Amino acid sequence: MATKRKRRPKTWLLSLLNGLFMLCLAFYWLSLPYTFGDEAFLIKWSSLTKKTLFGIDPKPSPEEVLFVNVSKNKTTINTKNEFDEISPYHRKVITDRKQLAEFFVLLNHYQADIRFVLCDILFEDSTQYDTILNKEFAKLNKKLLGVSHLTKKGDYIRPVIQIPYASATYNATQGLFLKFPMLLNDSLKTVPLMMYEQLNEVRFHKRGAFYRINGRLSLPAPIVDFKVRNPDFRIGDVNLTDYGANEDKKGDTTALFTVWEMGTILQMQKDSILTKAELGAFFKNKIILIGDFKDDIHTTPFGKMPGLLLIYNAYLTLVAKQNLVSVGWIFFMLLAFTFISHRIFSDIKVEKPRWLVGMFRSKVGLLVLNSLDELGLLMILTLLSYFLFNIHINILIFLFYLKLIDFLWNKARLPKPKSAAPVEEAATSSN
Amino acid sequence: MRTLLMVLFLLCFFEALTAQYVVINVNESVYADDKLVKKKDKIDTNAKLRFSSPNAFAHVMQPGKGYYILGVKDHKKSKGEFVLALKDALLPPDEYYAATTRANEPYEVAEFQDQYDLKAFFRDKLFFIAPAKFKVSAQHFPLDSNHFFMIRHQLADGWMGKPLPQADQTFELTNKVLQLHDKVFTEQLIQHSELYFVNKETGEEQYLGRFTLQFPAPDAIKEELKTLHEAIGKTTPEQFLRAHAMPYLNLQYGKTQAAAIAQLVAKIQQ
Repeated sequence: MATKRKRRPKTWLLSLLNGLFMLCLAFYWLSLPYTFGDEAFLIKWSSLTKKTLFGIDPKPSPEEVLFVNVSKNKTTINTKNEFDEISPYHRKVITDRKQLAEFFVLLNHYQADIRFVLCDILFEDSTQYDTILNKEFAKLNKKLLGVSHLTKKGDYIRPVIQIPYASATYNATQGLFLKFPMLLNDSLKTVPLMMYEQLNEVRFHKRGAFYRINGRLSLPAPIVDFKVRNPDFRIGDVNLTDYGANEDKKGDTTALFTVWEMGTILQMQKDSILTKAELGAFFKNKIILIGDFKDDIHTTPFGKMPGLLLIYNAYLTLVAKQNLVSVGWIFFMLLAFTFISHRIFSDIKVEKPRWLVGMFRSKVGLLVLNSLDELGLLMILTLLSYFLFNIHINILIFLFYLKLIDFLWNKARLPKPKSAAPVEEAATSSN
Repeated sequence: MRTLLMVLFLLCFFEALTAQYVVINVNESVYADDKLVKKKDKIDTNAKLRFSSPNAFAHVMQPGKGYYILGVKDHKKSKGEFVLALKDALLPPDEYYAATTRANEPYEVAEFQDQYDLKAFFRDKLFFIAPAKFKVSAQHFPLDSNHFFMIRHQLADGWMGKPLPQADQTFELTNKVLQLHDKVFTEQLIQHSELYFVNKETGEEQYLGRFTLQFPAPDAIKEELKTLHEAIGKTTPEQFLRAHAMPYLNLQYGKTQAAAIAQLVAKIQQ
């Protein structure tokens, strides 16, 4: 009894040390630009539970953003054949730069009212309209951002047009988008970070091994919180009954997340369907996001989404400061990891019902059964971490780590087998 | 001058205040201030709306705000995102896509639904030992005196075409298609044949396929199948037809209709 009491502080100390190590691991894994594919299930359902069942789903105002779709504004250009010559038999589909230039001419009429323009179109090839685009882009100055792309081979594709740009590349696990890194290759700033820096006047920098935003510790690649999802884009419903019954509601329709066709806006300007003031309403105080909503599609835990929506959600994650690591989260995680470690070092096991043990009789089955405690605890931990601090943690990799610690701990504590010689001696003497 | 500027400012201000909807599309009839609403019209947000029926609505957009449906219909609220995600997880959505061809086995008796069914059958090598009947969909191929199928044989020095006899949405292919007046063209004289659907009213011809056509003697085929049957040994007629006779004939002569072959097989088995 006394030895047990003596061992207790040592066990807690060991648990604390292991808890600290796990915290470092958690931070390291959260800092990786990718996550583990199997986490997607938990991330999706914990997010859905929080957002739709509990209704904790703050969204930005639809009035702050204007999504412009260019998927119907395409043209073709001649590209190089296998002999490296420009050939009319090798055609490539690109965004129609003439129409894009027209749109930017329109935008520049309202340049003073516009907050920011992100043009998620990779200007990889030169066309005859690039000079006009250059001129129009220059007028927007710092309010404009284009995109570049880092290929898997490590080639960095920059736009051929003069436009400030940042990388719109992310690392995917099994083709599933979960994280948007703020930096690529430790130096290339990505689009969400550039947008965040320009619109919110913040500074992202690296000091030692840690990344900071305005001096506060930040994760370099946070898991994106999907604040705006496909169901948020819908057609508003204005019933006649609303019209008649509620006089105050007349003409006061709330804004909705909407994808506007670039061609429609241009057509309405050309046909003078809209007045200058009405056209101005499109752009006033808006962050304008221009991209392809049909062909630039990515897989996320919430289904397929256009690339522009990924960038916008990554930006919103930064705006909501969900990338920042708070002291509360560090303390909470350290406490939780210490507690879980203490269970292992104190051999605390939950008694399993007989019927359950009966179901897992094989060696692998027993391993699965013995992992249920830790799995349950880690699931509760990631849910609490997400619900309280908006940070998901990688639980599956932690489960492997904990099982390894459990195995090593049990192995180290096993009594060493006594030498056979004294036993033999005792046997002969008795004879 | 100052007054003029003030008036202009007030006009602009008033215009900005009175937001309007731009009509994208209209279902049935919608009236705004007793005026029929058309595409590209602008409706004032304070306009009095009237609808021709409960199903009438106008699909409109408001610049910078979004797209709306103006209607009397009580649109049911869509299911929550969580419920939909749960439904998708438990009952994954069907991701099969429509294909242009169907399982059109040569021995299957089925109606030819559309041009793709016909195109799938009338190509490569075809042979028939008895008059072959093809039932076609009335929706895509209405058969009457002005609409009919025609076969066109390409010869070394020209071509000859023959309309195919038809009745009850079924057209027939017999060895008479090789006859022109009193002359019978042998299979060796015909380079290939083509099937067309002809609309006599408009003069249009729809090309449906290119193939070679044979009408071998039924007795010769019977003898070949008999030899095959003896080599195979004891088997049921159905099994012999599907597993041996049809694959063999398909390889040797091309596609055919199974009904006539089934009759031959029945005779052999007797």
